[in-house]
Amino acid sequence: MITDANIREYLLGRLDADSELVESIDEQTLTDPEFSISVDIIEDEIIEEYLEGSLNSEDMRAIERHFLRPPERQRKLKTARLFRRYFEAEVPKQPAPARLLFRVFRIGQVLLSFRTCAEIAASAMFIISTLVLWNQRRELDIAIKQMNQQLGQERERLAVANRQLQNALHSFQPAIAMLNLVRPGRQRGDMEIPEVKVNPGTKTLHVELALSSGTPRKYRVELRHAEGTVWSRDDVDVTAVSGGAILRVDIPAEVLPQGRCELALMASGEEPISYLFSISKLQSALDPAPSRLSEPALSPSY
Amino acid sequence: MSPMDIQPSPGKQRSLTQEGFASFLLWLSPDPGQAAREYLDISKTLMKFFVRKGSAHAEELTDRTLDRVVGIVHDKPNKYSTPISLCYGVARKIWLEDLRKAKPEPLEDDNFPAPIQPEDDFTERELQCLKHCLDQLPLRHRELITKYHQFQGRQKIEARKNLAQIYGGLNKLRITACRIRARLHDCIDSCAQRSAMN
Repeated sequence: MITDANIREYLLGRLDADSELVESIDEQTLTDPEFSISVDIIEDEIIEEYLEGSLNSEDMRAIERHFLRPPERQRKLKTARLFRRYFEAEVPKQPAPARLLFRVFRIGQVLLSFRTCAEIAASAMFIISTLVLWNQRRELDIAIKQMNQQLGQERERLAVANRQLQNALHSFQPAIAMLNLVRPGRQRGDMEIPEVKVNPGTKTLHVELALSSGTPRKYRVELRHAEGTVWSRDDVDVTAVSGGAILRVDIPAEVLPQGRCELALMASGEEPISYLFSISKLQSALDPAPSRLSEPALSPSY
Repeated sequence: MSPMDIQPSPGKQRSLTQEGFASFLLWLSPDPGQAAREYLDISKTLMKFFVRKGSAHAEELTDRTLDRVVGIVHDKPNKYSTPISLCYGVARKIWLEDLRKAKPEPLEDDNFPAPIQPEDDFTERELQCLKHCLDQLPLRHRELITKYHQFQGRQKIEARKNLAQIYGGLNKLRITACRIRARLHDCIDSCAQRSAMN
């Protein structure tokens, strides 16, 4: 079994070159990258111990005669020495304040040098500034949180007030919407057709239609939308007036569709008469009235 | 990298033909780029092997090994399937042959003075290169290697114990530090060579 101690002996050239152990280590260093890293680590540690001077005389001899024979190892030793010098030299340049104070008092100096005082003062200022900033940041966060809470409460109050207003407005909305239709016939093109607005509070659409003929008869009235009949009533009377007659009919609001509609009057022996109009259903009394001619939506440009 | 960028050392071209070398690269991989990378990897691994054996001429032994492997592959291309196994076998043979060469008698140990270690045998340029190479490291690695090497004796042991807790155990720490050192070593070498040329 290969151990760190075996590898160390291998690197120091103290194992029998023909032994199975050496053969095994040879093979693994070539074929197993992870094993190779383990060998590198032990190499580095040998160099470190050599520089520290913590090796016994036998190990020292093995290193100088065998381990350091390759020029590549000598370069590695040189680099290790360079590291050692650099990292040890770096320590005094960045002392932590606590370490600096400890060193000062350990030496027993009573009077601190100007540089030391300046460094301590700078460190203290830095710590105080950090604490102040941190505290201010904390207070700011608390203030923002409070404001957000207030904002949320305001929004809720606004929503409640809006609902109350809606309810109040509903109670003021007329229950009956009025529509007068005087011109029968299908109109094509851009001619405007009458429009009636229906609120949520509307219960009935009261329609009065003008007829040219004053002959009293009963009509079947159909409300048509999108090629279908949504409501109808039979035997609707007309009222004679000078110049013609008026047909009055009440349509329940719940059957009214949104958009273009046709009111058709049919009587026996007569051609059916159609009146076109449009229904605009409002969501609430606060909604703006939609325009009669709707424009196609513009596609966004990028 | 194309196979043509990798040429055997000029001295070896007497015994190593281009044809043999080309068929060796093809044996490593049908993809020329991949073959080039594998050749460099094998070369580096063999160098390391001979250095670890304590050889003073690792580069020469590596060339000799590759020379012989190229010849074997050229003669019997289908006999060996794993390049590193073949290289291992040949490398070991080369090493043993080198070991058995006649060596001069060693001097008497008793009166042989121990070599004096030069204290500061590096230049200001190398120090600058080390600083530059440290700056190239990610901050976490820079901090690790600095703290790993900062102290001596008892403090060193304590510092490394603390580092081991941060970096996932002593083994992981040793591996990471070793890799960082290797990276720094290569960087300093390149930096020093560049500075010398300038």
